[in-house]
Amino acid sequence: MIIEQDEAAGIIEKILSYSSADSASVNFSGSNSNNLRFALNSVSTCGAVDSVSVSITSNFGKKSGSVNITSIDDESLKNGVLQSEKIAKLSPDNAEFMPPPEKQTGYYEVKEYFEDTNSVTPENLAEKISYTLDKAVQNDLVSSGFSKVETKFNSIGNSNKLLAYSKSTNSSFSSTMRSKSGNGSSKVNRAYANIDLLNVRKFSDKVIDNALLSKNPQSYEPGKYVTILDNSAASDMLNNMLWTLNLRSADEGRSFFSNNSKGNKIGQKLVSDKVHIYSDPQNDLAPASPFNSEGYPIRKTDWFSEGVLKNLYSTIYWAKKTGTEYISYPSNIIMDGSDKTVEQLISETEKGIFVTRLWYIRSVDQKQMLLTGLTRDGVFLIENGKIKNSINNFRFNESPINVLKNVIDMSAAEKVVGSETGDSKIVVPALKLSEFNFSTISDAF
Amino acid sequence: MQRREFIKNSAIGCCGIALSGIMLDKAIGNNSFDSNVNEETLKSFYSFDENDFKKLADTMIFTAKNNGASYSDIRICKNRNQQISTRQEIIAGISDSESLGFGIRVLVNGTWGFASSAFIKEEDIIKNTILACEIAKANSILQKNPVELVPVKVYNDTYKSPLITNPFDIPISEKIELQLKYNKTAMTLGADYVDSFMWFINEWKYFASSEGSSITQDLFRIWAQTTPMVVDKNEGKFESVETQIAPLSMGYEYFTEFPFEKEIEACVESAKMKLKAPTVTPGKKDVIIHANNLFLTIHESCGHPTELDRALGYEANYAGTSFMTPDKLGNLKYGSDLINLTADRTQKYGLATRGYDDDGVKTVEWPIIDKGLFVNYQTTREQARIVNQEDSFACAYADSWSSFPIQRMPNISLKPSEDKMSLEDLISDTEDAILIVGRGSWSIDMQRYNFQFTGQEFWEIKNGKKTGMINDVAYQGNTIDFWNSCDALCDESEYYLGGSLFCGKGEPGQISPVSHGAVPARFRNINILNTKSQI
Repeated sequence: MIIEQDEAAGIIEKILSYSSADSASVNFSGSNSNNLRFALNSVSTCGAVDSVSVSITSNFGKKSGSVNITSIDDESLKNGVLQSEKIAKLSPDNAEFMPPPEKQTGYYEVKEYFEDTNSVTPENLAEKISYTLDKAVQNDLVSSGFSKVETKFNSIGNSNKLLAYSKSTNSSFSSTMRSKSGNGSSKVNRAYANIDLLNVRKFSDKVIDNALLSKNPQSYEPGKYVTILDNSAASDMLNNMLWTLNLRSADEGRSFFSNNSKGNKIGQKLVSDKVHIYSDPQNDLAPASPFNSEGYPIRKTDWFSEGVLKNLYSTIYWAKKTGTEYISYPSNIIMDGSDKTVEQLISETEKGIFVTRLWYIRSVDQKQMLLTGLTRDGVFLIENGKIKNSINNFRFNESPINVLKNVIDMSAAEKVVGSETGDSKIVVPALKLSEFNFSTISDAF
Repeated sequence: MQRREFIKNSAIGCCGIALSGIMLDKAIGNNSFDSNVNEETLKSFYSFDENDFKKLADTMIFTAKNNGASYSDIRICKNRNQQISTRQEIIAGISDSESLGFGIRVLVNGTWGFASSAFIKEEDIIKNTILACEIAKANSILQKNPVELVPVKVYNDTYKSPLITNPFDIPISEKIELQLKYNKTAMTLGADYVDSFMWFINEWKYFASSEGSSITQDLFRIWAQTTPMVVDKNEGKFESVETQIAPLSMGYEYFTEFPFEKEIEACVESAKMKLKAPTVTPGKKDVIIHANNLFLTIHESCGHPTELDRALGYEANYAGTSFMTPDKLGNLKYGSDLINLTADRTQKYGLATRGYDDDGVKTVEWPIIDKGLFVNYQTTREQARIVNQEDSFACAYADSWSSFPIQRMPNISLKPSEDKMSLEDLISDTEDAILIVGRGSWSIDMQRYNFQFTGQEFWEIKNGKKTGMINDVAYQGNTIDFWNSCDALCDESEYYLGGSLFCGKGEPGQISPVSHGAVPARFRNINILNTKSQI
């Protein structure tokens, strides 16, 4: 269900009018979506979802309680308020309690809503996908994939008169093409607020080309090699690092960004000078929410500039306690690239490995930010500036910090979806690295 | 929302049937937060009765049939979720969520259609039934393998998780108090930080199909975990150890059934030891893997590859495929002769245990690996015929009213040795090995060959004795080599039912709860990595 700004504000006001708490806040959101899955060159499952969600937090003194419901009739809303108040009253004082923010001004203007995306019908979606399926059959490949369109609204209000509202759309397309022999595979995954950017034909053609190229992989020993991580693989590395850019855990000595005996590593040069990573809700490719879940503004923020750690995100409590400027967690993450294409990076590489995607990435050691995971859907050997052949998959043990230290070149940045980046909005270049640690062979294709 | 007005005016959609408004009177405003909260005003969702649901289902079935559906089903679901999280003496979050809605699945021209809504009103049921049929028709231009369902018996039944105390009857203050007590225990013993959480989950669902079944299920799940952390700021080191009491389908008796305080004390001591423990020497080693680590290895290396949809390629775009392809059924020597892995959706306390699956099929127990041999997949009604079976193993599951039911993992457990063997006996019988305890991080490839797991604690075993703690261990292996290298299992006295509430699969992503029973087992010549010397 999509509710427009004025009506949403009215409903929030109504919910707050039921409150008898010292303070209260409401997050009110809803969406309409339609999705389609395909596999074995045929449609499999699908679904339309019409949903709404109301989250109410009530505070008495330093006590709070939250409730989340999916009904918006008066009785449900009253009961929700009552329930959150009951929980708050039954809770002990929270020493770190912070009252809801005052009314905020100066949210960035962000264009996240596109009517072309909003108006897609199930027929439109099926037609787009029919191209992908036909092409797969023509090329003797087995396709699978997923496409979804969604319109959402998100509004926040509290008893301090804060009000925030956003309406957004999203359209996504992903497809994996596998060779019938089972040893070749390639995948593409893209998502844009504006469906006009979601060129299903172009992305389908590209993934089919790569799938054909990935067939009959040769075996290759694990080791540390010059490596190009395609945008998608780079996005997974970047996204994993994003979770650790937390000021409090750094200050408390439990993160890579802890400066051992005191404080954190802000101001230290930790990665290559080429690295500029920041967040900006107004980014054209990845427009993102200009406010966070409490209603605080999300502003353009540098994380790394010329390789130096510039900021870590925080909470309002920790910022006050440490006397630092409050920086919200971000709604997107952007890494600047160059003017080069990925093909150019390959053509300038004498010998190296080209990794298209990563998979099942998990933390192995937090202190070193060591991650393990695997390559997937196409690994290639580069020789004399050309893709020589496809090779087996590897398990890697590597750290995103090392990756950023070892950057020797990069392509233009693109909006991509990684294997495990979910709905995170990421714009990232392909990265050419002086080395990357492939630790064992994976027999999977 | 003008409830009464709506009922009066509710026209019979273009092809629906007239319904009495009785159930709608009860349905709307259906917040069911528990009685300890407000007895006066809260109306219970349970004031719905069986007949009300049947009437809504009849509307759906009638509408679907009129719109060309050869099969249809509806799930009306209410998922309640209470979470408490704290660190040290601080409340990190207390929340109570309830998600209510319905999902309608139809088959038109052998193609699925699905539509769902949070608004349970006759009008929305009709609207979404028609939408589901329209989607099925639109998508049928892409259909090359029309869906066929194996037959199922018709059931009119109810099922409830066996539990003694309903966790939602316990005041939230009591739960918070208990958790803060756990944190205090950890801090008193010298933890620098401690994180704790509790989850209380109730999944209620009504299922009805055009084939005549009508099934109500009330499922409960519970989990609590405390993680003490110790920090040595001078050395820039920190270590933590998590409690290993698993999520289960159980009531609030969970907290008296298991020795939480004792385990938390042990975690603090282990974390302190870990800070000082010498680092492991990597290489090929024998390992004894404790059941509280091995359950997850079972999940990843047996649970996922024996999902038939993966093996066929239906999950290729996300979760991946499987090395256990249908040509290997009945002839792959998956593990040594000691290895028997059994699927069971009826096992007591199992997270995947229920009366019926989301296809309306009664749950069963069946072998997956029999004396090392791969003998069966996990199936749904749509899949069973593909492996020439007449019945589904009842593995269809949707995590919410808004999700399409897909094949999900049953509880899959390793059968204990019938010969007497305690963990102590197994250690005494072992010359030079590493004992791996507790669930750490885990990673496996998309066909389930190559895995790398860590743990919570690692102990050196020399000449039949635990000699001391070591650190920075990961074990890495290939599924087939690994399970074939198993040469000893403990008996049922060491049985541990582990599990996860959040196994992910499908697009859009769905979570699923699943348990895995295991006993400690010994594996020969396993690749051990030192996680500190990787980069």
